[in-house]
Amino acid sequence: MTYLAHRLFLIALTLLSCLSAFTARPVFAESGNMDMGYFISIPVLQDGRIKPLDTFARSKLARFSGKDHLHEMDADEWLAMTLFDPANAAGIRVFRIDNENLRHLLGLEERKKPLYAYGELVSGLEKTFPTVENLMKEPPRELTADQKALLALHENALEYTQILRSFSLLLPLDVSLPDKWSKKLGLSRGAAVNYMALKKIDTDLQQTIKSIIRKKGENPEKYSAQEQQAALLGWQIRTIEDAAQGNNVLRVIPDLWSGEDDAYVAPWQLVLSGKGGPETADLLKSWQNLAASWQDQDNAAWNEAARKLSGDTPPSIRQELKYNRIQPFRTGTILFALAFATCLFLISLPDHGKIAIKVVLAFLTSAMLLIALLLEGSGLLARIFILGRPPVGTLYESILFVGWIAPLFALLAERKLKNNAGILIAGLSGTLIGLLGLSMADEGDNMKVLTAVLNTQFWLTVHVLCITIGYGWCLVVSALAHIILWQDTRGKAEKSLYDTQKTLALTALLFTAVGTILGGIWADQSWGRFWGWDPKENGALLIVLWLVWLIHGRIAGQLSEKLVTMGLAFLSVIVGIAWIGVNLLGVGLHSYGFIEGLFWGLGAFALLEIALIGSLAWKGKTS
Amino acid sequence: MIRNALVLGTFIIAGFALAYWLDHSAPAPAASTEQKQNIGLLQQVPAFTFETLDGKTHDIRELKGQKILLHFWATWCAPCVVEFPDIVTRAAKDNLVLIAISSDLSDETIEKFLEKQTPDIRKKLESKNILMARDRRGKITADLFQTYKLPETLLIDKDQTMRRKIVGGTDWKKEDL
Repeated sequence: MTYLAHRLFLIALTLLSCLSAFTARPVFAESGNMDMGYFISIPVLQDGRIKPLDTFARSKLARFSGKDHLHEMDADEWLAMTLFDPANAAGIRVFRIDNENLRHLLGLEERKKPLYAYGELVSGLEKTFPTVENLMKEPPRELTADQKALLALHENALEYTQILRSFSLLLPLDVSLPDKWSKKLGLSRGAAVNYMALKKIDTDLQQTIKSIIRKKGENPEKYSAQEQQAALLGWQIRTIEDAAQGNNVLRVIPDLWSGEDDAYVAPWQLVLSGKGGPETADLLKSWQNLAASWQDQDNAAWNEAARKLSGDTPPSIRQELKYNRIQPFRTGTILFALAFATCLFLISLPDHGKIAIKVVLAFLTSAMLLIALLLEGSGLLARIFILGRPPVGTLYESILFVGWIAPLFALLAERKLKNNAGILIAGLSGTLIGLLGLSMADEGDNMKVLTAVLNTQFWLTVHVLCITIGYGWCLVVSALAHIILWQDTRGKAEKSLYDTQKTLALTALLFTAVGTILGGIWADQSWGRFWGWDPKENGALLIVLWLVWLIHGRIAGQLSEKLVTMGLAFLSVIVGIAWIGVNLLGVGLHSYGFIEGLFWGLGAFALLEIALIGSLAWKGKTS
Repeated sequence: MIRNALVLGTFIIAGFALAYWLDHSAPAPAASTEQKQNIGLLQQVPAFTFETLDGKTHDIRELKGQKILLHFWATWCAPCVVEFPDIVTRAAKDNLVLIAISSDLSDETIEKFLEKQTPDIRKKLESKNILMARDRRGKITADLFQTYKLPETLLIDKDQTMRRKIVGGTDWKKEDL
C-alpha cells in the first residue's frame, strides 16, 4: 500500500510539475534593465514560417556561434544589441571558426574558444573575397574542407551584416547637417538625423551637388566647407542605400499590399520596393522608438514600443516561446541519462540488503523517466500545434519521435519483464537518440515548413508514423538482445527475456512491414508507382527482410537462439543504415535528411556494434 | 493473448485516428485570390489636406463618393514623366479624381512641365477632377504614405478605402482599375 501511495504521489508530482511548466505565465526574460518579454514575441517571417523573434535570435546565433546563447548574454539581448547598437555589437565574439587553417588564413589569434568578433574578421574577409568569388564558380563537391569553411564564413558574415544593418534607415547617423537642410526638415541645430529624414531632402541635395559639380568640377578640394559638407552628405546617403540592397533577412513588417496575411518584408525592402503605407509608417515609428529606448536603456519606453509591435500574440507564438524556454528535448535527454545512471547503480547493488536505498533509487528512476517522457511528449504536441502538421516530417523530427517512442515501448516491455531491463533500455535509448537529436539541432531553427507534397497527405502521415514506430520497436529489441548477450556472458540469461525478445521482434516486424506497404500506397498516389527501388524504400525493406530471416530461421530451426539474438542485437545497425545511412547516398526521392557529418558517426557505430556483439557472443556460455 | 490482441488493435486504430486528425488539422489551403485582396488592404485612407498649385487647400475627405487615383510623382523622375499624359487621359476617361502629388522643389518646375504638355492634355488638366499639388516637406509622400521610390499610385474607392497600390510606372491604357 505504501509502495502504491508513494508511486501515485510521484506520478502526481510529475504531472503537476510538467503541467505547471507548460501553463505558467511567461516569465519575462530580462536583459540588464530591459524586459525582453514583449520584444521576443514580436512576429518575424523566416524560412516560410511566422515565428517569435526569440526563435529568430536563437537560430541565427546558433548558426554563427554554434550555440543559442553566448557566455555574456542570451540570444535575445544579442539580437537587440545587434539591431539597435550595431557599432558595439560588432565587437561581440559570435563567429566560431573551428578550422585552424582558416584562422591562419584570416590572421586571427589562437584562443581557447575559437570565437571571434565581426570587427576582428573584416580585414581577413576583405582579403579573401577574390578567392571566394572564384570558389563560388566551382562545383561544391570539388571543394576541400578548408574552402568550404571559408565559403560558409563569408555566407555567415554576409547574413550577419544584413542583420546588423536591418535598421540603419532608422538609427541616428553620425552626420553633420548644414543649417539649410536642418531648417527644411524642421530640426533644431545639431539634432540627430536618420536616413528616413535625409531621404526627404535627397532631391534637393542631389540638385545642389549637381550644380556644385557644374561650377567647380569633381575635385572636392576646390569646394567650400559648406559644399564639401553637401557632397559628403550625398555620398553618405548613397553608401547607406547601396549597403542595404537585398537586405531581406529580418522580415518584421507585414506586407499589407500583397493581400496575404503571412507576407512580411524587411525594413529596407519596405523602402526600396515601395511596400510602405500609412500603417507601416506607424510600425516604423514604433521600431524607431524601440531603437531609441534601447540606446537610452529606458525600460518603460522599450516595453511600450515592444508591446505595440508584438500586438495580440497568437497562441502558436506563445507556445513556441514556452517551447524555447523549456527546451523539452534537451531537458528530457538529461533526465533519461540520469535515469539510466541511477538504474545502473541500482542494478549494481548486491541482491541482499539496502532495501531502503533500492526503493528510493527505483522511485527516482521511474520519476525521472516519467518526467522525461511527459516533457518530450509535450514537446511533440507543442511542435504539432506550432507547425500545424504531423510531428514527423524531417530526419531531425523522426529522431525526436523515435527518441520518445523507444523509451515508452521499453517501459511497456518492463511491465512484462519486471527485472529493470526495460527501464535500463528506456534510459539508454532516450539518452543516445536524444544526444543524436541534439547534435543535429544546433543548425538553427529546426521547425521546418515542408514542401506541399510532404505536408497534407493522409497516407504519408500514417506511413511515416508507422515506420518510425517500427524503428522504435527495433531499437528496443536490439537493446534487449544486447542485455541477453551480456547476461549470457555471466551464464544467467533469463528465459523470460528470450520470450519478450521474440514478441518485440514480431511487433517490430508488424510495424515496419505495414509502414513500408503504406509508404508504397502513398508513393502510388503521389508519384504513380508503388515501388521504385529508391534507397529509402530498399532500407525499409532491408529491416523487414532482416527480421523475417531471423524469425523464420528460428522457427525452422535453422538458426540457434544465440545467432538470432546476435542478429537482433545487430538490428540497431540495420535501422541506422535504413533510417540515416541511405540519406548519405544523396540520391533518390527521400533526400530530406542528407548530412555529410553523420557518415563517420554511423561507420564508427557499426564497427563498435560488430566488436561489442562479437565479444559478448565470444564470451557467452551458450553455443 | 486476446488481451494483447485487443491492446494492439486499439493502438493501431488510435494511430490511424491520430493520423487522420493530424491530416485534417493541417493548415487550411491558401485563400482564394478574391479573399487575398481583402486581407490587410481596404483600410481607410488617412485624413490629410493638400494644397494645389492654384493655392487652394483640399481635404481628402471632401472627395468621398468618388474614385481617386492618388499619384506620387516628380518632374525629375523619368517613368513619371513618361506615364503622365496616360494617367491624366485615363482619369478623364474613367471619371476618376486624380490627385497628383509632386516631390518637386518648386511650383515653377511643375508649371513649366505642364506647359510643355499637348493641348489635349492641358485641356484635361483644367478639369476639376485633376488636382495638381506639391508636397513641400515630404509630409504626405514620405511621412504619411512612406513613398520613397517614384512613381507610386494608390487606388482609393468611393468609400475611401485603399483598394490597391501600383509601384513603378505602368501602362495606364491597359491597367485594370
